[in-house]
Amino acid sequence: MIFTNGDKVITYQDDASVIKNIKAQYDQEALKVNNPYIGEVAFTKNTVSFYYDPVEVMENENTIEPANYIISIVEPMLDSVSEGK
Amino acid sequence: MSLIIQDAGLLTIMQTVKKQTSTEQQNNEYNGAVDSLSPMLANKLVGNDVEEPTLEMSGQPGVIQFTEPTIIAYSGGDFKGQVNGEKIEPNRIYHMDRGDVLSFRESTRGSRLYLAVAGGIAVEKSNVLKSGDEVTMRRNYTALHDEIFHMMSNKRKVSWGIGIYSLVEVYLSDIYHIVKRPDVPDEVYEQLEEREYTVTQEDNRIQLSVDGQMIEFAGEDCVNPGILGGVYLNDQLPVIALNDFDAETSLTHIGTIPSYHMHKLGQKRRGSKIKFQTIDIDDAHAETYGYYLWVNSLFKAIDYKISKELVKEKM
Repeated sequence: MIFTNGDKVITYQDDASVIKNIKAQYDQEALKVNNPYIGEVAFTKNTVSFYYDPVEVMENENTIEPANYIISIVEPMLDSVSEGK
Repeated sequence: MSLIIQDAGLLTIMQTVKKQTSTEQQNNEYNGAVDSLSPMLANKLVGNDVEEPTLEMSGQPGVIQFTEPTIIAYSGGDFKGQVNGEKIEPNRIYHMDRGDVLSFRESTRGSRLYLAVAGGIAVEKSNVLKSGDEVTMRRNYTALHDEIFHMMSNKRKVSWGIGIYSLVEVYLSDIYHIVKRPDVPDEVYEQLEEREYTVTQEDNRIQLSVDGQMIEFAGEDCVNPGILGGVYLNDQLPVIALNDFDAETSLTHIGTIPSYHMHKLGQKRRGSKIKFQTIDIDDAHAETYGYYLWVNSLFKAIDYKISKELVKEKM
């Protein structure tokens, strides 16, 4: 499940095994989160959270839906990892 | 030369405006100001970059001695100050002389204040300040600082400040938006919206606890991220995460308060009321953008007032 965690964070929640796999890929830099709008990436046993600045996304990408923009970036990335679990 | 903390009060801490994940000063946590609007306003008034670190004082503010002339401003709760018998008010520019001692009375509204010093400040050791500690003045002065110093050379204060009416809209409401989670049933949000909660205590910079009717909901077994503004259930009552909340928690997460309401949450005191109002993310982002524009318009108004004062001084 991916959801907007307030106005500045997108959180993906899944089984611990899936998150562990994502974390391993992230640590090995196989999961490249090099989008300029995504800042801190924080893991827990069941979640991975992506921090972003919505105003920056709104102004630079000319969108009123910055969360959808960030989700459109991170979701395919997470899918590619979680499918290979 | 420096500022001397004669009395640290309840909690005096040098703090950045936003969370700093990397810092040159090790062993200090810079998780950001609990009320992030106030330090920006204080910085703007003294000519600093708005994100310059300030002194965050909670509950009973400290007593500070100045060892050289400087320009200060403080913002946040309605704490009346005093220097050598003269009254000092929030949201104004003041000139401090060598030997001046700044103290504060209890606030009638709000629980924290943020003190900005022209040119910036730094600490050599812990950013949690104790009585007797010194805070170094960075003296990172710009041309604007020089002009403000010149403008203030013969007076204690300027005749204007940011009026309370300019800030009423963003500080006085007890209503807090909460962005919903897709896996929390609507009944939980209906219960949350129809009830009023009372702040029982704030664990310093960690969380706000409230009392009121319980919410009967147990989410799935999950380790949640500790997010600033996150609303979690502890013994079926909401707790709200502040800046120093744990990075992860097993408490049930039911939603998150958007950033544009966090500054007023940071000024809540024991006995304050809180009402939640659910909001979808698109509306929350519209509010975020509106708040961003409002803050910028306030900054522009301060710039205008300072430049007008400088022109007046030169004439």
